Amino acid sequence: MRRILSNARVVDGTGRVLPDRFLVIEDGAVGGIRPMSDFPDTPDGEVVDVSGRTVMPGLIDCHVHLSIDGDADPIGQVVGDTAAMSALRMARNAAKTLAAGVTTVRDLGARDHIDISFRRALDEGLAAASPRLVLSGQPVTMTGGHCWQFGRQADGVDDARRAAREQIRADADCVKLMATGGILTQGNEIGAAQLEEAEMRAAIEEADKAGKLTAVHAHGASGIKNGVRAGVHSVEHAYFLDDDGIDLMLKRDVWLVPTAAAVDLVVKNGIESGIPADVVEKAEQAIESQRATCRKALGSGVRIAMGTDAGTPYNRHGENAQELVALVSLGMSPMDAIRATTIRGAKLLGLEDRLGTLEVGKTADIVVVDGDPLEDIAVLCAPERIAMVFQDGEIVARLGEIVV
Amino acid sequence: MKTVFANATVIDGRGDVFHGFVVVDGEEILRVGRGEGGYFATGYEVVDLRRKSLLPGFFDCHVHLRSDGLADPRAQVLSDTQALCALRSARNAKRTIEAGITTIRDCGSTDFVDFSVRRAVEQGLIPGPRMVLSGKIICMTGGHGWNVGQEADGPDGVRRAARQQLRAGADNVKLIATGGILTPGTEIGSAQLTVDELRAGVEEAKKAGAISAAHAHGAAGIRNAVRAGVDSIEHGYFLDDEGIELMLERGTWLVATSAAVRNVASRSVEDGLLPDVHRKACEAVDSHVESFGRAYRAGVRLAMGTDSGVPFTRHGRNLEELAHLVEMGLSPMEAIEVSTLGSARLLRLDDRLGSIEEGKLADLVVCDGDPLADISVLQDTKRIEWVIKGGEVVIRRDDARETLDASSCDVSSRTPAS
Repeated sequence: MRRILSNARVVDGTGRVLPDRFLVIEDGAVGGIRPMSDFPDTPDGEVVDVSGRTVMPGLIDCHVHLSIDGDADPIGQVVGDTAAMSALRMARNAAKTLAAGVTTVRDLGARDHIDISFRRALDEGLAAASPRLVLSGQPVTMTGGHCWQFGRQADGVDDARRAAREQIRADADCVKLMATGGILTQGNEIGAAQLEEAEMRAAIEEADKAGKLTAVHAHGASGIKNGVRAGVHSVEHAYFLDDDGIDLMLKRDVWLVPTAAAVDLVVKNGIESGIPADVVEKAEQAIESQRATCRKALGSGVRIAMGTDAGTPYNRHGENAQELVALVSLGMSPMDAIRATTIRGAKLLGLEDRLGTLEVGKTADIVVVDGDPLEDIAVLCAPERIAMVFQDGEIVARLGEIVV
Repeated sequence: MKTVFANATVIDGRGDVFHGFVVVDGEEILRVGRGEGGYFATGYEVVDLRRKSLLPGFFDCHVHLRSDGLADPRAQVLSDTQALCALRSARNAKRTIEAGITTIRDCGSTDFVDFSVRRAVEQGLIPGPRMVLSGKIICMTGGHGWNVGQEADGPDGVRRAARQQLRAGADNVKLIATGGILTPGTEIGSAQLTVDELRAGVEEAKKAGAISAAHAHGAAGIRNAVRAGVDSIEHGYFLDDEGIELMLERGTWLVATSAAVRNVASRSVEDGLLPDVHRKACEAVDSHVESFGRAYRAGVRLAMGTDSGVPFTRHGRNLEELAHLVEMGLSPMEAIEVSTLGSARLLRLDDRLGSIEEGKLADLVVCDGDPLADISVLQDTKRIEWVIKGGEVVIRRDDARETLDASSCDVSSRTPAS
């Protein structure tokens, strides 16, 4: 079906604002973006008047965990769930994410390859509502390393290589590696290096050979550098990133996915909300450094893509846009935050030929927002302001509710 | 929910029909009354059901949510991961409740996925009916369904297998008393678990307060199961007079799953059916119709079950079974009673479910049409306008919110969020 969004203010993902436009959606793609002065007298297609609203590319979240809900104790939920239950959660959380205007996600680790099963279920039509999925299978971690409870524990270069091959065999698009301890894993020091540089290099070689993405979870400065030297595409979190690390990331052209809201949400909700005490303590240790290093990274020229780590405590699926608010509060301009969540996310994921901007010929993954996020980025957080979400040119959500 | 359903044709599930009203408050039915009088207390939404029927939520006492009803279910059963099986079961649960079925008994799942699906429904992750669950079916080594079931041999083996299902959360122990249509190499009529083995499974179910059901086609296997004390015979396609006598004596229920055998017999190998499966269904269908008629006339207790999930018996078409029951001699009112209060009694849920009575849970279906005049209106899902489970509206098809026209995009009049 041909649809025309009229009286649109287009924030097209390239950094431009195009007022008074009409946008044509045709065969699932953007068919044209033209001034309203050219609007035809007898439009060919269904016209949807979007006066007063902003039309943007579908949002891209490069770091989610759809199989966990964002309850106080995510590791407890993973351990307590059956694989079946975990898959059912994933389906529900995928729908919530899409309803919020996030049309593409990278899931950075689930148990038992249930993420891959979920994609098969979508292909079979067992579920309808989901963002496009870039999947990792199980995260690869050292024995006892971050998220060992559901990760693939691997020790030594050959085993890390095998672990990566297993994820690729299962149909993962990305290999996720744990370079340091994490906030959520009991007994892990947040800064401590974990997988060796050589172990990560072996896994990354396998991903590179297969044309897959790689991401490292890394907080401590040495672990970050191990990951970067091993050749990873993106560093996730990097709460204790130092100047050498920034230089190295710049030199290697490595992406940073700061997940700034995740740590805030743990600290803000605290022990009283049921988050395990050691988790809160580690987040409190990290938050000041996270804010400082993130500010520094923003000014350094390091390429930044948006990722929320949704699924961690009180970091709920569907509330992904709070990360943009966090990035803006750390000094990013609203336009840059939007670009980090559209074209830059698409570039990190290698999908920029089809996604990330509204340009003729690109896939019509579109969000229509009631208001102006450049004026107030927080409008993206209000479900009732996410007026319409299109995926492949079809309306999939309205006013924060799925309609497929 | 605080709602008055007024001006309805109430078909109460107990064999009665009247023009009247039903008041739902919270999860329960607060009042049921005759006539126009209505009940118009403040704070209640009044829904005018003129020309529409209000019925209890329907039951299906025999489904397999884990299978979609493909011509050859084996590939799906053998290749699904646990996660995929759960997502498939969830989709089928949704289709089931969308068709007006508010309670099911699942007569055999894979890997205990059924229990996770029920938990997901209870937690609100997915929509679905109330569920009476079996875990895995229990069969002899090489018996019907052995590739998904729990194989058990000897009374001790079956006892352990039953305990394993009960430990996992089963409310029903499903025992395989004879061969089946779908399992290659098992003849449909041949007896399988022995009476002693069946008895051990039934005893464990009884001790745990659960019910038990036997898959049984051949006359000897049916008698074994009835003597062992099962609550229901499933299928019973070759039920003989001796079996009928025994069932009457013991009060055993028959869940005839007429849809299952008809849907295979009426198709062919060209539709993807395995030759063996088609042959066995064709051999069974006439005997099924004939023996069911005898059982009905003799007064055997009947509950409704479809076996949805077997070839061409798809989830969401469950109420086609009522038309089959009517074709085989039941009145539309009897078919409805069998599919509501009768089934609730088999599942021992009749204290809270199965009929429209004050104090019962508000599991209700609104049908745009008169099923007493034409039972097939129930199988037209578009006419199942409301499905309510425990006072929660699960489906409302007369609601503008379900329509997808562009006009509902308009949010300009909404108050912006602060």
